[in-house]
Amino acid sequence: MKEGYKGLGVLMDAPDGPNAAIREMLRKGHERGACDAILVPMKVPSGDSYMHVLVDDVEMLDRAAPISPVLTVQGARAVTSLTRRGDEGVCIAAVMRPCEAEAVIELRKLFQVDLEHITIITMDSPGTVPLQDFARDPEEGERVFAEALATWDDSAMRPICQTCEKSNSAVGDLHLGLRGVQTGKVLLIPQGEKGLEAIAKLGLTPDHPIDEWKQASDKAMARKRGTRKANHEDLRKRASGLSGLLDLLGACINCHNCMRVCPICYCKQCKFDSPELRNTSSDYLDRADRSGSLRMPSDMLLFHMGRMSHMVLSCVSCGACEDACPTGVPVAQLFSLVAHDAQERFEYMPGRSSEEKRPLVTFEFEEFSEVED
Amino acid sequence: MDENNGHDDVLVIGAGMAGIEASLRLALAGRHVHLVEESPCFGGSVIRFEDIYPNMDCATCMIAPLQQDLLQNASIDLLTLSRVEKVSGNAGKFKVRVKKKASYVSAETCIGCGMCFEACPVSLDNDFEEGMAQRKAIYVPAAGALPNVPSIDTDNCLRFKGEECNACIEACMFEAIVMDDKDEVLDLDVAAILVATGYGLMDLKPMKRFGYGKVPDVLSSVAFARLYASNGPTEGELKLRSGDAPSSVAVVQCVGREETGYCSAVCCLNSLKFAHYVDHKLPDAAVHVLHTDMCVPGKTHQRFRDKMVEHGADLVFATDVKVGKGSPGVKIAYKDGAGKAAELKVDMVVLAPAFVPSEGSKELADILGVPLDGTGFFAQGGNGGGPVSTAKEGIYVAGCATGPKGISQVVMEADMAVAAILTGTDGGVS
Amino acid sequence: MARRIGFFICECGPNIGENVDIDAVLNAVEDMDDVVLAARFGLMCSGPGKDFLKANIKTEKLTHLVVAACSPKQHELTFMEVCEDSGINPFLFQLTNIREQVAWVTKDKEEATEKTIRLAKAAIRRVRYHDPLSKTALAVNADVLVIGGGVAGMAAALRLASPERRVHLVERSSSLGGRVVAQGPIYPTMASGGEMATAMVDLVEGNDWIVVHRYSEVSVVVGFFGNFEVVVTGELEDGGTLETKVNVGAGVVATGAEVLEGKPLEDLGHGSIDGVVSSAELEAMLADGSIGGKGGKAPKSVAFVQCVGRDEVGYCSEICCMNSAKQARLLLEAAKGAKVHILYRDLCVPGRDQQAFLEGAVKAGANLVRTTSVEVGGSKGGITVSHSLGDGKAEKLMVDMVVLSPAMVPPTGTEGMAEMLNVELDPSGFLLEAHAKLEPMAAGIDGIYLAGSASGPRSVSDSIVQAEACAGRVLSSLIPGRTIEPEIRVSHILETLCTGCQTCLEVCCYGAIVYDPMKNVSHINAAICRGCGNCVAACPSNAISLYHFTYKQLYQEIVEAIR
Repeated sequence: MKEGYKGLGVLMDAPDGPNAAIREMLRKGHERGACDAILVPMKVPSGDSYMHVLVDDVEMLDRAAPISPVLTVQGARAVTSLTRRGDEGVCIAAVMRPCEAEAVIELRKLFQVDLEHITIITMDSPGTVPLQDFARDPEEGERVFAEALATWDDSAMRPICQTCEKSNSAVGDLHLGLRGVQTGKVLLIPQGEKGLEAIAKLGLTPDHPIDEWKQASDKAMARKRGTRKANHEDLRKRASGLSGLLDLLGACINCHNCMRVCPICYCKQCKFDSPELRNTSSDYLDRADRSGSLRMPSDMLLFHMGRMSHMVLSCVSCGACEDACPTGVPVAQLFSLVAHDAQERFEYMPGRSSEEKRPLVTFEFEEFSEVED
Repeated sequence: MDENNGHDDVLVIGAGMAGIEASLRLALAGRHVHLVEESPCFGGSVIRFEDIYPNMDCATCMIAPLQQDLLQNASIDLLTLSRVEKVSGNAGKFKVRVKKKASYVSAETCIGCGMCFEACPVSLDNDFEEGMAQRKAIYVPAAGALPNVPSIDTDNCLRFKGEECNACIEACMFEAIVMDDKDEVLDLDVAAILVATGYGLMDLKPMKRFGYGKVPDVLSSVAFARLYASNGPTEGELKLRSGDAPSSVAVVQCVGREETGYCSAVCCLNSLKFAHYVDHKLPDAAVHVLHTDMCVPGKTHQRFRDKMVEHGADLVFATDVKVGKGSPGVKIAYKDGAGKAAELKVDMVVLAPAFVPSEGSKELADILGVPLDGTGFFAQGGNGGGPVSTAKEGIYVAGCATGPKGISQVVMEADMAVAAILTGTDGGVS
Repeated sequence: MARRIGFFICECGPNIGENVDIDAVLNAVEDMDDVVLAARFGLMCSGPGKDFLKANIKTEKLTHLVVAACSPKQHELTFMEVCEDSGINPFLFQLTNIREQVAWVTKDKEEATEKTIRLAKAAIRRVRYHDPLSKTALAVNADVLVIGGGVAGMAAALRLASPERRVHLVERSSSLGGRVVAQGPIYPTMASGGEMATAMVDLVEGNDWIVVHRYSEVSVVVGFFGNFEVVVTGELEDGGTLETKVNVGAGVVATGAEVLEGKPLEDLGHGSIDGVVSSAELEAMLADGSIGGKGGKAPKSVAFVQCVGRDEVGYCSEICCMNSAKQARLLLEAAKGAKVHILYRDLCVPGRDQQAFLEGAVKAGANLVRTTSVEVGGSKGGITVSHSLGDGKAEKLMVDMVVLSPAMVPPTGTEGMAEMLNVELDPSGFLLEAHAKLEPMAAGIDGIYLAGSASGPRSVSDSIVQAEACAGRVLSSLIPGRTIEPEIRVSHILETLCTGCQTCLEVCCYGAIVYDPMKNVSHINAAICRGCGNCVAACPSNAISLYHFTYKQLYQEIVEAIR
């Protein structure tokens, strides 16, 4: 976890809760010219979902829900579509969860976003409600989430959130500490030059120690680590061997939704959608002949393994894939397991820093010396 | 290519690193090269090593592409088992007589399957393996040696001793054994001559204080390199004479430096590489490197030294080293950095002997009519030329024939000689 | 046109014939799609074997050829030539190695036969998806760019320049000669470095084929071996700049090294204690006669401190021990009976002549002291040098002069130079060689060579050897009037799939890939690409493929092999 600016933040009043405090801060930032526009989750007009919205008119901010109950479109996808064609000097403040911001940083390394004029604002995340649960009963979803935000009890949040050790990571240029901060307050923690610049424009001075927040965060994250380890252990057993894997992925209907919502899957065209994988019927018959039968459409396992091998080192375990799966395949949890192991081997943490090079493009003589000979 | 009746052909003597590099470059430039090599295979000293410091690149892998190029290059006549007997004439028009010993195996039909040496009844010490392994009277020096064509050692073949033996002839399915093969004498016209005869290692036996040949498990650096080599006598196992793995190894530096009066430039690094060998194969064994000045010149080598120390190599400043029998093992007496007497007991001692002029340097120098210097290496830069020139115009020298140096310097000198030969002027301005 | 595949298996005498059931292999493959002939021969690489192939290609009108025999290293070229002679594109051919990979290693004949069948089928399946590829020949420009007008750069230029080969020598400063021009005697010959460098400058200036660009720097280098486009930016007297476009086939970087400055020297009193000088400063005093020579002064007692900054830079600068030995000799000549101490850590005198040279200094009176740490302090009577000896005891010397031998470091601007040339830097910040042993004079980019201290500390004579080696490489491979044939089996990028993530740029070892920001895609220069396949494996979007090793070809080959 980063340490912020000399271990100091700004203790801000939040009498009406953190959402209102963030809205107020965004309004002030816009007024003082810290940004030209704001990208922030907002309730859709029908009231039963949330989307990232680019706000130019600060009046609209009233409807913003910076800490939204669900993750619909991953924030990194929103930033990609915003800046893919390059940077035109428009300053944007983007509000998102730590996992979304981590994905943004990964995409920065892959030249899919341009962050020069984007200030990212993250906050401690209590998790999000499973998307399908929320869609079924938005009112209940709102209630469950409000309770989680008040109590930090994550048992009704998505399984991937329950195991997320980075949900309090101060990834953004500005991070809002909520956990362990006294009631009625939020702790604004600046990171790096951009964070300091933003905080200066807001007319604030970092003078409040972040120790208390940090201790509470570390404790909570340690607990989540335990949950994660247990969950991975269980999953490792279930997913072991080809048959275990096929059981786990058995309900997959080849809709490729998981790929479409994944922020790291940024290819123009997915290999698995390409004509190259379309074979003649005699080819399929040939394969069926070899193994007795062939599941159609084919290549379900190849798709998941292929996607895994392509993006797992950058996987931030945001869980968008699992939310998008219509048949309840625990795809995010499976990816998280493999991602965790793979990233650990390279001592790599996606989203940790945009300066850190991806393992794929680094080379060290001593790398994996244990597998030599 | 111009038809020039051999008038710009080049003679390269010695098919080690320098000779191979220069031959390939000259051929690339369109010159015809006669590459003369005394031994049955080419590759020189490099092919006896498994790895190359400081990156531990595989030596055979490093040189294999060059060897392949050499074998396939139509502009290079590869004359193994050959030596230069006579040279006359001057720059631009030398006349050279080369004697090529019969190999008794046809390179055109032999496919290198090795059936013949399996059948040969004669068994003798293999010099290439420092006598730690046996070879037959028909043989290639080591697995992977190129060209992969055996030759008959006529001093030891039963047939040449007048006995009745057809073992190899019968074993060869390709009728590649040619018993009526004859030594050949080749008369060549060449424009330039490059001497690339490399180095030898100091004879350890006369230096009684190091115990070589008397104390068991005292090895030369080459013997140790062969022990580690995967195509060597133990297929890469580091073993004592008893067959056990050593639990401690000491590498002694500067063996013979007092006698020669110079630093052989590469032994410190080579010995650090040996420390890596031990660490790699026997992680629990202790390694001591007894050195005077640790000579690690250049931008990368100190890092290599530091890494070896990190991996547990014990660098010991030691003078007046004496090696004797321990009970058991080997005992080393020396003076430490403060000049005090100290002792070390180990299972194995590896001696790093000084580089000396290669055998036959004197004879070759006489044949060529160029001088050696006081140390017995080929003298450089006579005739006002640079380090690759000799006293005689048109005759160049590169690599360890002029003194000890590392591979990179050898390659650079070879290419410098190529520059001189291709521009037809003497080497350099310094 | 319908494919007509011919399959041929070589018995290699008994080598394959006795260990593999050849008939079983022929039976297994003859019914495969598009296979019109499956045949055997005793020794396929022999003259009769090649004739057998040619005759069958003709009579059966074969379009594709598969040979099961030995390692491609041995005879791939042989059979590709047979294809060319018979009018088949040599890339519509596949060799599968059933000798080294089967007959010689799989002892059980049944297993060996089964393995051979799989390999043969895989090769046949693969060859169906082969594309014909053809070579291209590119004309080359034989001119050479040399960056840096020191002795290394001048040596390379003098060796290379000829009526057929113009050399552009680019020098940042006003004059040629570099560091050596200001030097006195250089070891081991003790000939004057300055005189040698001046003589070289005269030769360069008198050479009609060398174009010297003074006050100039190279600002752009694009292209590849044989065809580089270079922009030389020169400073004009009025403060403006002049850009000159130059086309060359190769470049030699001879930008030298600098001497370490700053803290490691300051810690030893440089800049604060009178009489503490660097070796370079002493060199200048010796050369201009302010020390030694006629009328020059000479210190009565001197301590040389070696390895200054060695720990900071992390390497031994190779030349300082010899340099101090030389300077000690000169000081002892200047003041007979002077006390000269050389405080060293490890004497670095590699090679045939070096130790004798050092011993010469000792004979002349220099005192070699092995030490582990040195401190320098000022005092009334001179300079105190305290240092610890091998036994841990400390010793104090009083001297008139202290000479610090600092480490050699990369010159300022090396990073920019590396970026412009697409050459990598090593961990010490010097330019990285293509191969530390086999290509110490070449950079990782084809056609860019390294001379002198640009790739690490080097003595004057070694710098010249390296410069001449660069020349040797250029003279042997970049020949006026010749063409070059780039590798055919190279990678290419499909623009419609490329996302511009530039992962390929990072993994390319040859600098063959450039990013086009306008189109947001990357491009591979086929003339530079060597077909290593790094980028193909690394591309997250499958936008890159390698001719002759396409996904389809590999997939079909593997599917058949593991069936």
